[in-house]
Amino acid sequence: MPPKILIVDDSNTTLLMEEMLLKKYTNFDVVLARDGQEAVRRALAEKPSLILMDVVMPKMGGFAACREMRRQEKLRDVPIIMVTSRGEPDYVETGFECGCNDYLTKPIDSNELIQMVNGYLAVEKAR
Amino acid sequence: MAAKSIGNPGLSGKIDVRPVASLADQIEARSGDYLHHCLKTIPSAERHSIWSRLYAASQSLGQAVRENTVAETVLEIGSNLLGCEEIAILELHTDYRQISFLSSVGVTATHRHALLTHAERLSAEINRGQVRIVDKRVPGDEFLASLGITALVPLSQGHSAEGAIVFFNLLPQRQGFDSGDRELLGLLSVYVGPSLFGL
Repeated sequence: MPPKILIVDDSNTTLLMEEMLLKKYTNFDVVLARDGQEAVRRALAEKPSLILMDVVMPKMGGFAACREMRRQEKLRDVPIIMVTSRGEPDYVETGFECGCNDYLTKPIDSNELIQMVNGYLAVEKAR
Repeated sequence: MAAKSIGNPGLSGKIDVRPVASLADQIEARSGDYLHHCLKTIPSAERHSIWSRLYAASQSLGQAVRENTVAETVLEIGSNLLGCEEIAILELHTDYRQISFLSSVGVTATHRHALLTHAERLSAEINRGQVRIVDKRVPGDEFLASLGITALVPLSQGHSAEGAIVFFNLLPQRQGFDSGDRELLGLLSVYVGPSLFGL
């Protein structure tokens, strides 16, 4: 069974773009969530191999969701890439403090996203 | 102020959904074309990223037409695909001397005041009907630049200018609008006018 990737974003436009790119150019199955709370729930249920997560979202933001995931035994080691329009150094630093592994700024460069995700997929395969 | 509602109430008072479906179908067909081009392009090519952004924007806009969320979706496209979180969607009054804000995000009081104060001249710029990426060094762009505008997307319905999408400061990671952005702005120029003012 192909590994799963969880994409978390409250922007329908971003979900459409990321879902298309990852379905066409990686071997991940794609699971979607629209806020941090749903992301934590879905991550626990689906056990994804990788999570792409926005920062500013309703109900629970990406940083809080990242912290919550790192508290969960099942999700502690799942790589999390923050994908956000907030590229200021303070935000990036906070992201890493919350436990994310990588940081991508919007607007997304399709090639950069595909390469980064496939890099994590290669690590997953090598395990 | 909310954007105009979509759907024409007929004599029965019911909403006629046919124009909505027709426009959404057109936009989604365009989206299919963009996807086709995207998949024919290698991901490392610059065009790939442009095609994928055009695909996402048109797909999202098509859904927004069906769900009557066009204004919100335009702001979302601006933020997520263009890197701008200071955007206003304007409606021109019939005398072209005043404007109204249909929707906006992140627009400062100063910018808002500037738009309202210079509504007549801004209306004239919108009436030129051209997508403008503003460069203050370029002759003819000084006025828009003086208002803090970085891009102007006229919105028309038929042959009549009805409004505009106005972009102000880009996010720090963006150096400026590029040729790919121009295509995306062009897409908005074609479809957002009929979506907001024609249905």
